[in-house]
Amino acid sequence: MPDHSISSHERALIDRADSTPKRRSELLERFWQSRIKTKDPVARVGFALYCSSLDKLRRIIANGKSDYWGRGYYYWRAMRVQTLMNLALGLEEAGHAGDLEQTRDMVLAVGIRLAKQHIRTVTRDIRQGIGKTPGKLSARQIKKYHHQVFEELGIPRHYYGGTSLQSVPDSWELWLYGDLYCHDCDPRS
Amino acid sequence: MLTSLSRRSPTLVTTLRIGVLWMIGLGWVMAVYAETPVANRLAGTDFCIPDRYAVRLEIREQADDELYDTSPGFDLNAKIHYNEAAKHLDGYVRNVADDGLPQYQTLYLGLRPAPKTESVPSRSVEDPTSLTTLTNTKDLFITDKVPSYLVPTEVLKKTANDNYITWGTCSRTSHHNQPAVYACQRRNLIIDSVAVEYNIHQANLSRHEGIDEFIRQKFESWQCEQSTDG
Repeated sequence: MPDHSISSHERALIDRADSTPKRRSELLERFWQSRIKTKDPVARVGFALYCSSLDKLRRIIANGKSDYWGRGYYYWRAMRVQTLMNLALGLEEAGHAGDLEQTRDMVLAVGIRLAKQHIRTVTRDIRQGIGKTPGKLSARQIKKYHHQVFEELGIPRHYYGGTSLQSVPDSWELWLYGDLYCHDCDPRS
Repeated sequence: MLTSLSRRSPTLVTTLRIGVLWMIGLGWVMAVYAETPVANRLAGTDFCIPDRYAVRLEIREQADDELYDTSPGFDLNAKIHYNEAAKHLDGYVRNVADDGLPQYQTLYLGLRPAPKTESVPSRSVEDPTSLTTLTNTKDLFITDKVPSYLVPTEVLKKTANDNYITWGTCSRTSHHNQPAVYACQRRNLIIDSVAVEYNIHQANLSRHEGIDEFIRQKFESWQCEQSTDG
């Protein structure tokens, strides 16, 4: 069973990313790449979103375990586009509109906040013995901390996961996208 | 045209009229339904969360799905907008941002069934002098003198009779070489059969008891038979 705990190196990556905005992209990529090694279910979309090139994403998926990635490169590439669009639209709806470069910086800042919440949630999961696998999060835990970060930013919740269309019922989105974050998440908690 | 049609085919016109009336009626029912706050019951409890506070989780749980287990949590959480919290809590800080983007302090309430034990058990502390008072508080203490970055540290609360109970956790969120800033999670707030947890930033820690009380009052107004707080 892989060790899901957050290493001191992973904490240091986010600590440094937080304090050096110019290196955020690179450090977020390294953080999620490191989490892939622990089979962290959130790392797939985290890495797809923050990796610096599609070639790298293709290579990581090709060399990775198929039971972890579930679906192939084209699926994760599509999810990268969908997630980026959701974030950009959500930020705009929350009143944080900007030019391309400003939007990119905001997406990275949101990435830092999500990574921090992820680290805290994983650590708490281990300490409190939540679920059956220490450090592996459930869909409920993942959804909750995303909701919290989005609430803090004023981004409507329907921008997390699924499509960015509020009119699409959540249950349809879950059917379409439910496995995106969690096809092998810890089922309890 | 309708007059001439009614002469030629009165049944068709009557059917059309009934159809139009039926559609108007259906539209009205749908409009009323859409505006009526739906009370979302927390399964097995007497609490119904009004729509404007409810956060549906839409978690897929299937007993026969090997990847998913049945969950002790609810399919609902709740949130109280930061403006409402600030209206009821004197000095409540609405936005604690320090990185250019806002960090609004909406109270997002994680909900789950309360443990069987009725009250939060006391926590023995061998040497109370080893505890460090948490910034902005008088009754909350961290057990770790130098908390590591993003590592949740247990927080104890000193009760009126000098006992300690587990209040929740706090994590240092400020990066290295910066003054410590904590983001905390209140746990073990038991309201009848529901265990509530919420995140609270250091800036609002001095109001932690007021926040607990405010949440208790909200739950009182969320009892199913009187859930009018929509």
